[in-house]
Amino acid sequence: MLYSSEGCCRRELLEARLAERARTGDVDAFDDLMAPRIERMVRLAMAIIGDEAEARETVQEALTAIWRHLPELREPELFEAWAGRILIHACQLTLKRAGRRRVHEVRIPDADDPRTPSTAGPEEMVIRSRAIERAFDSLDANARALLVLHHHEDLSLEEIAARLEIPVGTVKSRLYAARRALERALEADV
Amino acid sequence: MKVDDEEIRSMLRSRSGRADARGLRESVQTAVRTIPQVHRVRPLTSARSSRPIRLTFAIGAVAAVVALVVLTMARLPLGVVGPGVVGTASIESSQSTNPSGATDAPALGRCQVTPVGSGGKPSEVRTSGVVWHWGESAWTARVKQGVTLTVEGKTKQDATEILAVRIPTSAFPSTLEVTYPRGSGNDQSFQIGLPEPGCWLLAALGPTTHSSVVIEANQAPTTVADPVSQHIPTSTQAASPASVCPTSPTRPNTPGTSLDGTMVWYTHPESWLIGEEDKLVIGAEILVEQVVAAPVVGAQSSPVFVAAQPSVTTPAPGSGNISMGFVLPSTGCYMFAAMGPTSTSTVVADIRR
Repeated sequence: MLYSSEGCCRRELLEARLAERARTGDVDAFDDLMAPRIERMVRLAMAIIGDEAEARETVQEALTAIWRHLPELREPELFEAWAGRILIHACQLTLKRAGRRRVHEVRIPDADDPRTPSTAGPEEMVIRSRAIERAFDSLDANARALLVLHHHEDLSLEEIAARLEIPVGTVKSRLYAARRALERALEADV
Repeated sequence: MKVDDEEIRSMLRSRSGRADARGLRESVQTAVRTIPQVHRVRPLTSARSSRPIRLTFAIGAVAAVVALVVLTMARLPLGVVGPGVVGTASIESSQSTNPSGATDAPALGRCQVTPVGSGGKPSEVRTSGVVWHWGESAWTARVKQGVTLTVEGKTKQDATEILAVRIPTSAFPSTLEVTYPRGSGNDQSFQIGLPEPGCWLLAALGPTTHSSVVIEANQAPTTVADPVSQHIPTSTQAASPASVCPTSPTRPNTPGTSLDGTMVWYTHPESWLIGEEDKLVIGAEILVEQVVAAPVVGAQSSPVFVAAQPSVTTPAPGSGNISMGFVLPSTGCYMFAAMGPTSTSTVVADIRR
């Protein structure tokens, strides 16, 4: 990658330098590197897991793992994909753990909570959105991760392939399968 | 029933919008100041390059290492594996000529202490269904520390012993094993006086209890009383084969596997290769950095378990399915403990040929 003093690559150069410093144990550099990412990481974990406490815990675990294993990252310019892979893996582990514990959280929307989505609009849309979410929750960890990376993170097939370390063709077929599984679950729910 | 892209996006946006990241940055910032980074010669979680030449090189390097391992194994006597062998651990034969029972560890690392507070409270650690409590003072060699165990979900406590195994590190390359009986009464109270400083695995072992934590004991101050007067054990206790091996529960419908919570241990105790390298595989739900194997043996007539052999460690590649080579010198009752940055996992298996 060619670094210039302007545009996107300036930020990437800065981040690569921060990653390099964090690799050598610089806690402040690690904080500078991760601070702008934490909220997005929690949103991604929340989208995959669906439980706020679990999502926060998962991100914390992922951040700790990123810190611990940073010295093993040989190419700091690949930090973004590498860290993203650790987060996805942490989310998958959390879901597998939750599945084995057979704990199913029932979320009750709080009308006073500003983070609760607005229920304005046709009642059918709200009912359908909840049905889609239930169907999504019935999917396995890999399918959820794929759908979130594609529809929530807006990553391209190539970027997803790099993130999950699988071929692009596999991403395509698994994404299709995940979509079909979601539709089947929705049919079963209705 | 068809779902369009926008419906999925909308649902995921709504779902992720409920996330709250407040306070997370501060807690992570505090945590990383106390968590050491992993430095390995062999990268285990590094970014994968998309360049084919690197992949080819990696395959070549792995093949070279495998060839080296095979050649080395062919030249070495059974049960002895040198420190240069990657991913392989051995336990020296019981006929070792080393009078102290100690051996050089194949992989000397730093001490991966189980974080206090992982049980939910600042003063406790919860691993494998057991809550460990000890005092707020730091662990110090030759200074007794009161330890209380609570087995979750049980009113009647196991007849549990604590087995302490010193894990070899660069600072303390030798191993030691000591057992501690519990105090009198129904509570699971122990007085643990570690004979020497270093990195110690404390394992609570009983018929249905298998749990361990890793602590680091500091050098004793010069003012500490003579260890003999404190009745602190100073050497490995005499041992005889265990009368009953406190094996871990097996996974339903999957013979040969042991369960510790969500961790699956593919020990296959009925088909171990003795005196040769055999694979131990773990379905890990925690990050695992080292795995210790220690024979569990005890007196015929009492439920006292002692590690009679030096334990060894081997690096394990992150989380997920982990496999590693172990050379066990003989059949018998073995404890396996996987240690990671956040927790440990412990199983006991009766290894047979």
